[in-house]
Amino acid sequence: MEIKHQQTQSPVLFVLSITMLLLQVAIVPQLGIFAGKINLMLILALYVCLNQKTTHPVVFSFVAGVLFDLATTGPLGLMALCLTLVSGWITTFVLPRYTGEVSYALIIATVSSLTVSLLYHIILLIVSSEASFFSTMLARMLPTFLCTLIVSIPFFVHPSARSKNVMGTRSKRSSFSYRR
Amino acid sequence: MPRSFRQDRGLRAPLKSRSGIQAHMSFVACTIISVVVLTVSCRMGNANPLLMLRSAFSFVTTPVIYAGSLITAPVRALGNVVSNLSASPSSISDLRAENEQLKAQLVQLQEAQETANRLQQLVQLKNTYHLQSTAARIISGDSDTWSSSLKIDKGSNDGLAVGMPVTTSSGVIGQIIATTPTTSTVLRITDESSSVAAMVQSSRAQGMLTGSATGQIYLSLVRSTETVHVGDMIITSGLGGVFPKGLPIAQVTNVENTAGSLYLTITVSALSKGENDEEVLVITSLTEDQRASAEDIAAADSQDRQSTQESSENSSSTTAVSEGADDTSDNSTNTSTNTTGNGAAQ
Repeated sequence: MEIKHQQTQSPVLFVLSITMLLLQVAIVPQLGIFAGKINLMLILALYVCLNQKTTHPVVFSFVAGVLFDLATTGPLGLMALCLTLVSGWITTFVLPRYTGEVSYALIIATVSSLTVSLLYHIILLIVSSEASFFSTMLARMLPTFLCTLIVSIPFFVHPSARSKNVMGTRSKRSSFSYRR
Repeated sequence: MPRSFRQDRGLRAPLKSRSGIQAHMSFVACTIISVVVLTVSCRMGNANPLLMLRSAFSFVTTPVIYAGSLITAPVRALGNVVSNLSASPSSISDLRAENEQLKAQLVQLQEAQETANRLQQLVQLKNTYHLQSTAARIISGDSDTWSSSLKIDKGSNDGLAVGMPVTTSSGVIGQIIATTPTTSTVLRITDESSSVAAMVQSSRAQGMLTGSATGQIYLSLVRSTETVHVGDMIITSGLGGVFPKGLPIAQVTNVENTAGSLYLTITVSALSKGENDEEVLVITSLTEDQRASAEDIAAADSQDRQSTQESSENSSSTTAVSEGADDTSDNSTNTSTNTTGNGAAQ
């Protein structure tokens, strides 16, 4: 059963990933509020982690982060680090309590988006010569967070988003559930 | 607890323990790799070898970016419209003011470009003829109606002196007739008191370029036996030692050969109009090869002697005819005028 589900999920995940990547490369740079841009790779990583669409969500998030870094002009490895940390946090601490509720998924998406946006821009402030903390936070971080959060809502509200995971069950147990 | 779930947990427990360890290991590995890549990227800056990856990625995704740009063009245009509509009146007025300022700057830049082009042509002229010269700017045109002159912004302080020839990139415009410490007055070749030793470039026929009160310029003292065509170029001959030899001055527009006349009546048009020029070159001194050669002087002398001889012969024959014949009407002047572009006179 597990193998069967993996086979059915993989093409969907592959198509979704490619689509999100293309959108991230082609559309996102053209659209945005102030300096804020939608982080589709973050949304993809959250979607995959929360719904256990792959057996290696951390690696998937890392790869998504690397692709984001390649598509942007920021330091390489920064978004990869952020997404790796967030996906590790989700798989370790969030998934054991996650029962597939929309509200809970939205809370996790909000916290994750805010954390990643904040972490990304703070590290950028440290490593680059960006001058003003407040302008960076208000003109870049906040719009990025809000754009990402708004675009991510359909991914966690739509019924198909809560489809069966690779283990063949609804999203209510993490890969670390054996520890309980 | 449902049976299926218990079975599920029972089956998955060993798998989960393995996958859990794998997940931890992959988390640690990904974190370490990210930190290393980030450190390398930040520390090495532009010398970062990982930037090649970004270049390759950018190269591969270029068509996608173009496609995205095309797709989002209407949306961006809509965004611009919305932002324009929502723009405050003060920002619109600021933009208008900035637009005006930019337009003025554009005109200034275009003007600077034109000036640069003209100066470049002057430099080319200077290099072509190996002229020892000083560049100057025309600051005013004719100061009175009696003479055809202009004023330039260099004077005796800059080494300019009366008699120095003045030229533009298109041709000679005149000669300095007065200087002050800071300015000089240039008499144009169109002035009736102006005369420049010149010659027809194709036939080397020598003459004198003189102005007139009407502004017309004539090439006088060219013998009627010389071949001059409309469109021929008139250049300085170098005789007199004022103008360097070979500078373009004018172009022949009309040639008249009056029967019985010793000289052709040649009307020319100056190459440099003067009023349209802004920068000029004042030739401060001539080198030896810019002066007329001994052959040129000899040719001019022989042309002069021939003319004098023919003139005396004509006058003696005319006297004989007038004395011996009554039908003086047969000696009426036969004038042939060529006003078209293909006219020629000998």
